[in-house]
Amino acid sequence: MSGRRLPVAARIDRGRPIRFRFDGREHQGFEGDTLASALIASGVGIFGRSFKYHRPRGVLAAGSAEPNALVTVGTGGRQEPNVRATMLEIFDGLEARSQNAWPSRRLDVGALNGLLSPLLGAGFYYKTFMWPPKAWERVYEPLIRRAAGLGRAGIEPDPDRYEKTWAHCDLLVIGAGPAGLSAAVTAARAGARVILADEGAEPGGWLLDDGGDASSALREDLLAELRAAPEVRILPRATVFGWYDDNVFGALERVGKHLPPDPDRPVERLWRIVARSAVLASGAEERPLVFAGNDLPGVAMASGIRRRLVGQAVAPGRRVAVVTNGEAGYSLAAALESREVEVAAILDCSPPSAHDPERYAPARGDWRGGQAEDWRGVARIVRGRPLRAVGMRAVEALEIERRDGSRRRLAVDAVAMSGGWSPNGQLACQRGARPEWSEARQAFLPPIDQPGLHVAGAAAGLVGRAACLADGARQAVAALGEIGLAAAPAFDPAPEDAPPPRALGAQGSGRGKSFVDFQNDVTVDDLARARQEGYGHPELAKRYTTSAMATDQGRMGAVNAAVILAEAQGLAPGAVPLTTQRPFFSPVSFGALAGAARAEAFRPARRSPLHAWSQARGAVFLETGAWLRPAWFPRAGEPDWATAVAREARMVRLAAGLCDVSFLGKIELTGADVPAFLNRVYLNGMAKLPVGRARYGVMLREDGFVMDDGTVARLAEDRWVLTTTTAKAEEVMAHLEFCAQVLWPELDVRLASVSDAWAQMALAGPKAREILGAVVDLDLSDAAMPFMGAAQAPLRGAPGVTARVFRISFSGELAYEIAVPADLGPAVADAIMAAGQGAGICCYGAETLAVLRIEKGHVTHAEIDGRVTAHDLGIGRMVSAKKADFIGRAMLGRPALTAAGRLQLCGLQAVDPAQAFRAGAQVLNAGAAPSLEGAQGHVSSTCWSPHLGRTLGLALVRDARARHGEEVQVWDGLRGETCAARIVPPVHFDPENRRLHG
Amino acid sequence: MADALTRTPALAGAPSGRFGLAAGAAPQVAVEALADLAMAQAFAAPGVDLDARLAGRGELRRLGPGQRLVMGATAQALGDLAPEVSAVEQSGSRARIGVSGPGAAVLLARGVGADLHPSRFAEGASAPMLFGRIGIVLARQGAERWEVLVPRSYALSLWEELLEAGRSLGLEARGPGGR
Amino acid sequence: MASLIDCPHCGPRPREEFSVRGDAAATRPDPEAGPEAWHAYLHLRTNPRGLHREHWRHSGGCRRWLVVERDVVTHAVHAVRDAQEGAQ
Repeated sequence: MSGRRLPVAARIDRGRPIRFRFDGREHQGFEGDTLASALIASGVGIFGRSFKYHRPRGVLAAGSAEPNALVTVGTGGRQEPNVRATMLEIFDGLEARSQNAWPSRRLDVGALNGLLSPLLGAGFYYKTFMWPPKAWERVYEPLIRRAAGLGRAGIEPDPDRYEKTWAHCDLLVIGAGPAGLSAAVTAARAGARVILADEGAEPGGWLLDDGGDASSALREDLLAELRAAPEVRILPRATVFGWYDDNVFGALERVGKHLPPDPDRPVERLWRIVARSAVLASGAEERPLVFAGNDLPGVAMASGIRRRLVGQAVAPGRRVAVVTNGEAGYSLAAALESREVEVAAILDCSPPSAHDPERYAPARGDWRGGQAEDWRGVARIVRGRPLRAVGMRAVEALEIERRDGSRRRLAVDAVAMSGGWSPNGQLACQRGARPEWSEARQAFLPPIDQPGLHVAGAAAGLVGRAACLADGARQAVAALGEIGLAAAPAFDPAPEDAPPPRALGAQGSGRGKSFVDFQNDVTVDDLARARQEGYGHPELAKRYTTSAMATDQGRMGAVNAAVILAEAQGLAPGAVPLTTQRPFFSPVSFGALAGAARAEAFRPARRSPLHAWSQARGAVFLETGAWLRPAWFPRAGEPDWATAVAREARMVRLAAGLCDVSFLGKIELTGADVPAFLNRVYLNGMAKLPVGRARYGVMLREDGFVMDDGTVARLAEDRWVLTTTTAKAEEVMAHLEFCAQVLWPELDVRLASVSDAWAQMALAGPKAREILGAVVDLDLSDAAMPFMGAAQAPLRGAPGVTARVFRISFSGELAYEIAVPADLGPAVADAIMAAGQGAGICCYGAETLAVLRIEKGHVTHAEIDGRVTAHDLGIGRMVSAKKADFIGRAMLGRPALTAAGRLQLCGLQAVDPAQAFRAGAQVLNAGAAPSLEGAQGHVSSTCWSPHLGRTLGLALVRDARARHGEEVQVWDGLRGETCAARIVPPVHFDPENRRLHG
Repeated sequence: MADALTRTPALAGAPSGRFGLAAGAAPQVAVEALADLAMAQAFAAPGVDLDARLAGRGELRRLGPGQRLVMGATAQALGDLAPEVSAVEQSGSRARIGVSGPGAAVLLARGVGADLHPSRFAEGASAPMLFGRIGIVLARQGAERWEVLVPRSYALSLWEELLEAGRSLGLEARGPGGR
Repeated sequence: MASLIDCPHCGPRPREEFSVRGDAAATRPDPEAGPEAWHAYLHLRTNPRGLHREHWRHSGGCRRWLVVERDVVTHAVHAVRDAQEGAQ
């Protein structure tokens, strides 16, 4: 309400005005303004309403720790709540809205919460709003939830792009203030690979806020040197939010948040930085003073006011009271007066013995770089303490108490407060280290030197530009020394400036709320209450009051809370520790964490060599894990998928069908000990498999349960190929490599995954033999190529190319699988389709494959669900009695795995052809009440069989093999449907397998 | 069937184009479909120096200890090295993508967690790693030139990921269909 | 949990390139060792507060099985070796 733009030099570009909207009203600022500075310059005082009490709030600080001025930016999928107005750089077309206020931020109905505040203290939901009990859920909670809260998240899809990247460096420097720039330059001169990350739009930190010529010149020189160094990467607008194991750091770069949307530019970029060493030069956060009304709009941090004054020529008001316990307030007063802003008084609230205020009064050349900001001595220095700030919706006066006990009321429209500095050491404490109170520095300090991370400058509690420059250089030398790089410090050691101000507890006892945590509306009274109710330990007090739990994570209030808790117990400040730090240092969007892995790109898709070929033939694709598999090939006029699938299944058994089975895992083995190895991983014998033959194999887990099934083919003396199911291909390969490398390293076995090298097709049906003959040059007669034969053969039309032919059948028809080099897959498929056209060949997909295999009782991972044994599946006789050892042998004989009452594989057929049942349904005895009690088993797979004219299934049912012919109920508890079915052997169609041997 | 069968390139269907470039601006990175090559996966018996035995058979790509991909050779062509070296046919199993330009390493770093600095990944070196979640073999062929081998089944997905990740750099993509 | 693993064949790589199988301390018993020995091998594990030896696989790289010695309290990785080195 009283802020304004000053006609003094600043870093804004007055030649480039920018128009933006806030709460629907148009404003104008300049390039270089943040939303906060532009709105304050426009005279805006209230930026929103607080979380719980709906108190009017203005801007408190400058930078990412801002707890009050949180706005919502953007609309639709770009809507972002809780954006700090102090960090938001304005651009043309920016639309921002205040939060948590209705109907407007100036006149907010929620302010009535303030009247209810006695009922809304810490932990209120355990003590109030309890009666009547039902009213909590129906009335109180929804109302309270609606009334509280900060911004609203958008729910539409986010149209923006996000990127992620890795980076490697010898030294990561976090923070580009004096200490950080010095560390980076020291490392650059040593030839190290450096990454310098700073949260601000421009690197410089305190050198920017200082405003003096010497600081500016120093900053320019250091940056010029860094920009010219080839192995230095500077990342502005990048917050390092986490320190992880092995010195990996996470950082969030705001690439496009300050610019209009651009489809090719990401809005944010997530960095994962592998740093061999790091220097934390993240500076220190100024502490608020705790007195009644310290949250009124117009009461702000001295450093925040200074940043806007120097950077954007924005004055906080016409008459400013400065309340300070250290040097910072004095230098701000001088900066204000030199820009013609009236300073009503400097209230020095440091303890009596702390220092002589005259020491700070004259302009101190070193910090201000020689530019004489005359402090005209107009403002009186008063020693005392602030009692309370008063005003309706903005500060109108400050009540103070002088050392002699007398009270005064200062009529002001802005209050600057400075309560000392809290080092930003959070990153250094994210991996278990704890900050310790330093009496000398009156601050909680992180451990200064940990392996891989060294703290420098104000983050280590130092004061003064020269001291920070020297410390940054020193720590860079130490960090590089740790990794074996020699470096010389860019700046010499220098003494520190004034001693640090004392950490103060609660100041004012005036009427009204004294805020400790602004964002969550936590007051001194809340902390007292927490202690009173037994939650005085800092970890408990934090959670009981929600202090330090907001998006600023205690950067503004945690130290004050700890000091207040200590004083309440009669202890010295620092006796009560801070709470545990964890990543993230500041909020990270989900978009940045996801990067490009969204929607279809969430998981990379795998495509068969015949993918485009199937697509061209109209296939409908379904996902199987990462694979895109053709499910069916609809033809014009077919009303639904079931019709297409039934047609395909009929054609396969009638004439011929071609199915892409490239998805199977294919592993090729060579080496002298392959036979012995295969014997140890399958439950049946493999070592004596003759050349030219294939065999069905089952692999167990070590605990005796079935893991996977597939085939093994021996193409030559020392050339074996095994297949796995699509779902378990990776797992089986990992298992086999474990066996070969860890369990039996003495065996000479070499494993190669060849899944991608071969296009593999199943050609099935009575006409399969004659069709195949047109494509491969091989004697396919029953004698030369019997069932389960395997051979390599020349491919017609591709001289020198060998195809692999296996007479294996998943469909139960006369069938072959042909594997050809992947790049010839589409051409061979075309050739097969052309050769079979006269016979009526069709393509078929995974759904039809399922129908055919269910009709023949072949199991997949629907049946092999990790709980079945070979005996359960009815293949117990496959288990070799001769082999001394194979995976799973020792445990498969356990009594429970062979006991009666186990679920066994069987078939189910619907009694009424018009009824159907689904996979997952429960099998109940006929006449039993629909319930899980007494359930006999479940259905694992179903299909509608065109050959039996009814719904078929495979199921796992108790003692099924003794119950063939029994009628049961199939009960779908989710849908409340029941169907009568009969237990039958799993092979529904052609049980004597006559068609296989055609 | 006496007519010759046509071969389909591993990157068939990969889109070409220019992405993220203002008119007249030069792309920082080019992503190119390289010609398919025969490939064989060679294994060494214990104690055998695989690189020495494979000298002169073609450029090698590291897959792991005792395993190499031999570029330009079929398994059959390496048959004479048996039994100390066994070879498995892998022609067609991988697509070859060339990534080049001043932004090549920047683009690759968006998917690869290994250190690609020339001091750690020299010209001629190759290694298996992940780009995002896709397993690749990366080889440095020059100061700003790389070859990426990707399993055929993932080729189009990786191509799309590279194009998406490179947009903010200004990228030119040249699929096999033409320039 | 470590963020980087220094694979003996490939150098330092992000954790995402690896998969963890479990305790490497257990040795596969003789097939005739009896159900108690097999039960212990499959189901029983000690859980020391400190150093563990685990089987990891560099599935996104050289695909070798490795033995990783790491401290579950500090997350420090003390050694990474190829599993075949001194395999039992």
